[in-house]
Amino acid sequence: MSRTETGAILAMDAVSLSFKDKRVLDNLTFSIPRGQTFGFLGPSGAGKTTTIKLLTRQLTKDAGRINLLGRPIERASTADYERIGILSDTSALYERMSIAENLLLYARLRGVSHGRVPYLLERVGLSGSAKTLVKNCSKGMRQRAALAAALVHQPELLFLDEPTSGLDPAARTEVHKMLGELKERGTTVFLTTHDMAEAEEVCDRVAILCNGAIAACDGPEELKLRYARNRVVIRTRTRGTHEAAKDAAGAALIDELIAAGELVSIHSDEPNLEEVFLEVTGREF
Amino acid sequence: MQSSIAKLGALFEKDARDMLKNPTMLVTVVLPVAMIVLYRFVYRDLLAAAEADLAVRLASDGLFLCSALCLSVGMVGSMTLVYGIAEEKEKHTLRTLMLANVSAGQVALAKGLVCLAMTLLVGTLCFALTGVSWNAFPAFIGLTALGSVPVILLGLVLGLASRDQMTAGLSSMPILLLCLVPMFAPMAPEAEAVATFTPLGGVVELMRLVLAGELTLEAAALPLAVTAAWTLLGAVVFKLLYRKLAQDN
Repeated sequence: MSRTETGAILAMDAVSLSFKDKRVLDNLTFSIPRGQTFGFLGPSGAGKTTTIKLLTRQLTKDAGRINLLGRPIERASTADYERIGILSDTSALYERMSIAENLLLYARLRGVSHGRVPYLLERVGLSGSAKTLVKNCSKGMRQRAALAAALVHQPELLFLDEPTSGLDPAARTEVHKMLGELKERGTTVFLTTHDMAEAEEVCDRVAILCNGAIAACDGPEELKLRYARNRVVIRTRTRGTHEAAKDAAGAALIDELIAAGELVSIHSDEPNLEEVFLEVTGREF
Repeated sequence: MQSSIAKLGALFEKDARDMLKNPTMLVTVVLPVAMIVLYRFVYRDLLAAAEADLAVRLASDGLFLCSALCLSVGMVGSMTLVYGIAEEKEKHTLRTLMLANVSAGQVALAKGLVCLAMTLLVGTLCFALTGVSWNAFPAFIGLTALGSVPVILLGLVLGLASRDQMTAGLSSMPILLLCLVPMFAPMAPEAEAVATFTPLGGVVELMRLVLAGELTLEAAALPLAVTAAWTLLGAVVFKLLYRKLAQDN
């Protein structure tokens, strides 16, 4: 790896992929240190799921290098893949089996004790529905059950493709809490989402993907600061709201308002991630 | 090795339970048994004549055992697998299994073993209903198992090739018909020539040789070669298709 960190649990270096004549991933380069939650952001069709498919060997790259768990992906063994968990956009459970039976199946396939299943059911809020057949579950219940199945073997590296898609706010909060716990335990998470608020809440670093290329990659706060506008918003008692530049003129205006007893509040005018995305790519979600 | 066996055990149990819960698959299990019951009714005169005449009994035993073999292997072996795999593809559970580090071989072996076990169970039930002496059972069940191998492989191939259960219904028809051809061979000379080279043509011919007491190495060579050829064909196409399925490029 020339341009990526050598100690990373996952790294892509100048990776490209085309489907026929269409370039779907273009020169992707990033690396993820162990224990980090990395958000892969972008609108539908940007290449997020395609990237996960590359990293999980469902697709093969045209060019570039991918390092997975410290070795080139081409040399990753079956044992390496036992250290990985995947919740993909097509992850599915057996419909004629109950949620608990599905989790028990995946526990057996992963060589994990059955004792972990009740814990996982509890964590995803499905203890009361353990015996419910999957065909009778709502989309949110299926998504939570599939997440539990992906976590059954306590993977070191977890790929989550839009894990909160279709979940209600309470379930979404529960998933975010789980992601926090995974981070505390040192699990590395590669998360795709088009929910900017989610990315801000759970990710240590994010990459913004646009048309198959990374348009920006950094921590959410760093990105917001990088694209922060050079101004503050001032609210006054009787003169309304003002915008002032962060310069001498702005400072003089603030001094004047303080002296007049007019100043109520001063807010920095940082963009949120969605605004950063618009700034970086010129596209809306 | 131990983990592979554990995975295989888990998949086998899952597939066996699923087969019992799936109405479509249960129908294919019940049909051969129902057909043998119907045969006994239709051929009641033949069965009565077989009580007194050894030559008629031989013909009757041949008819019933070859039909039982073709029906149990053809219906259970082809249809349950084609539908089973197509459903896993359609509902994305096959892809989810593959992402859980389950190999092509493990999926195929588990499904194939469940199918084989169910075929042997249905074959045994059919055998019991034919009323043929249990002395013929070891040869019958052995040939049923041997004949199941190429049909199971072809069922896996057609399952992988089917986009969904709807297309599985269509694609399982040719293999089912191929499996049933040897049943009708004694009734039509034209069918007899073709029957030898169908997936079950070899084992049905071996069954006839066993019943007639004419089984020799020389006589068994062609039927065994036909069975081996279908097995090889199924194995090669299955391997190629599964590799293709694992990659989205």
